[in-house]
Amino acid sequence: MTRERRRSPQTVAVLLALAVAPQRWRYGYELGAEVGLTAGSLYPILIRLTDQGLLQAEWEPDPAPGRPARHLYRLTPAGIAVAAEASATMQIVSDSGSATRVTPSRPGEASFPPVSRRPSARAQWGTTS
Amino acid sequence: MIILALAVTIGLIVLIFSRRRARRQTVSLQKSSSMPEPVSTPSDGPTESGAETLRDAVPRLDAPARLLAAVVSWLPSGRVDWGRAMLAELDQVEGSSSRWHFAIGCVRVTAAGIVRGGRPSWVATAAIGAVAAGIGVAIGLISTQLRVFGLLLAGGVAACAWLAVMRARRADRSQPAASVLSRVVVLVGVFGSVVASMYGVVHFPRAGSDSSHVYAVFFAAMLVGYLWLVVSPPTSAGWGRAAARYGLIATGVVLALWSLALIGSVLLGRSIVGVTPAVLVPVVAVVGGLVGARTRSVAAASVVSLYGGTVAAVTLFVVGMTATITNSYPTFATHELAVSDNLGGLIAFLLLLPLATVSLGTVAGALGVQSSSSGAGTSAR
Repeated sequence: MTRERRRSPQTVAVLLALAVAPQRWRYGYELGAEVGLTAGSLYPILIRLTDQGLLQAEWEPDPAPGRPARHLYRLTPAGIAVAAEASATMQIVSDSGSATRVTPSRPGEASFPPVSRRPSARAQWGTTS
Repeated sequence: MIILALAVTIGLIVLIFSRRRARRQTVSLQKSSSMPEPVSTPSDGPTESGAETLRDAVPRLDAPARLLAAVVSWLPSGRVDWGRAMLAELDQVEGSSSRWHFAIGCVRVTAAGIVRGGRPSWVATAAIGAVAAGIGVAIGLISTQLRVFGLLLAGGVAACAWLAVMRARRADRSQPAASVLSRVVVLVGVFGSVVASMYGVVHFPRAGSDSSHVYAVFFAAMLVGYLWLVVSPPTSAGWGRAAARYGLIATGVVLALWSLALIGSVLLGRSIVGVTPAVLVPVVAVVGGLVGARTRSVAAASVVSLYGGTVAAVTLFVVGMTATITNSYPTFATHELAVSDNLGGLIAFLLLLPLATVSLGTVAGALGVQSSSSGAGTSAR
């Protein structure tokens, strides 16, 4: 019997940020800045999600001249499902008066309500993943 | 002997480079009076970038990028893409403090990945531990005087083996280690040094009297350092392909000189092995200088001199101890004294000889680079 581990708030934040536009490829640094995670916290999450098949990582096809190709990330269908589940859970927690605040999504862009775009997301959820 | 070696080295270096410079000037004068020829560029010479390394993937190689590239190069092959991704992402980060912040975060992640993904399996770890424990116990059983030495050597061998297994699993192996010949010679030399010193201490107990254990610690540290150098050397930028290739030449030169010394001893009917170090040091330094001039890299010259000095020292130890043990002396007491004295001296040479070759080889390399650059400049004009 396999036991599903609870995802950390930081992991959920990354999932939800990616779920805002699931088809759009995102850069790691930009994603980290958006969810307020440092490289030291973001990369373990990205690596873990990729290993779990929830995240697709590809090399940038046309890098800027003189620049190295960067990794691009987007959710896999399984990742989208997990993000939806996480979003629903967060919504329930939010409705029941939890401190976690979920901001409304931009119209027409998000499939799920994204987490706060403020860099204080880390402070709000603690420091470790 | 060291002073003699220094004098000979400096003389040879000055002679060789003054002749090289004179020849270049002659060539450039001849060229200036004839048809113009394509100007040579620094990339015409052998370069150290034979294969694409992680460093090559980073256009902006400042301190944070350098740090991250160095750590990423240790990642196991299954994780190397993540290392490249972090390096590429760092390239986009602007501002010194932001770059440092990002790089340090990545280093933290990468270090954890290296430890998790690159460490040897439990079987390999157990095997390394068993072999190291066997070495320590065997040395301690053969001679109680060498217990401290045995313990330290066993620990050092285990650490080197562990590091080598980790190194073998890392993704970026584009920077080669020592040449196979250098590795074999130093490994055999280290083994021979241990056997020769144990034989000397067992048969001449006075040679093993070291109540402070200073010699034991120093001897073990030097041998472990030698092992580390050939099994899992550092991967600094200067430790490149050219250096390893020319390190092979340095080893070959040292072995050839020893062969000449042995043949000369047989032909002359008396040992000339004792004067060999005085010849080895300048020859290795000159080889370093030539490599520096050829590769236009002082680092390559230093590495060549280091390998040359290491091979010279370890072979000197084996040859010197064997000669002392097998020599005939009027009394056992004098023989014991000779073994004791020479053992101490040869242990000191394990440090002094590479120090001398590296110092002189680096100076010679710098002169070679200077001579090569000025020659290129002259021919360009």
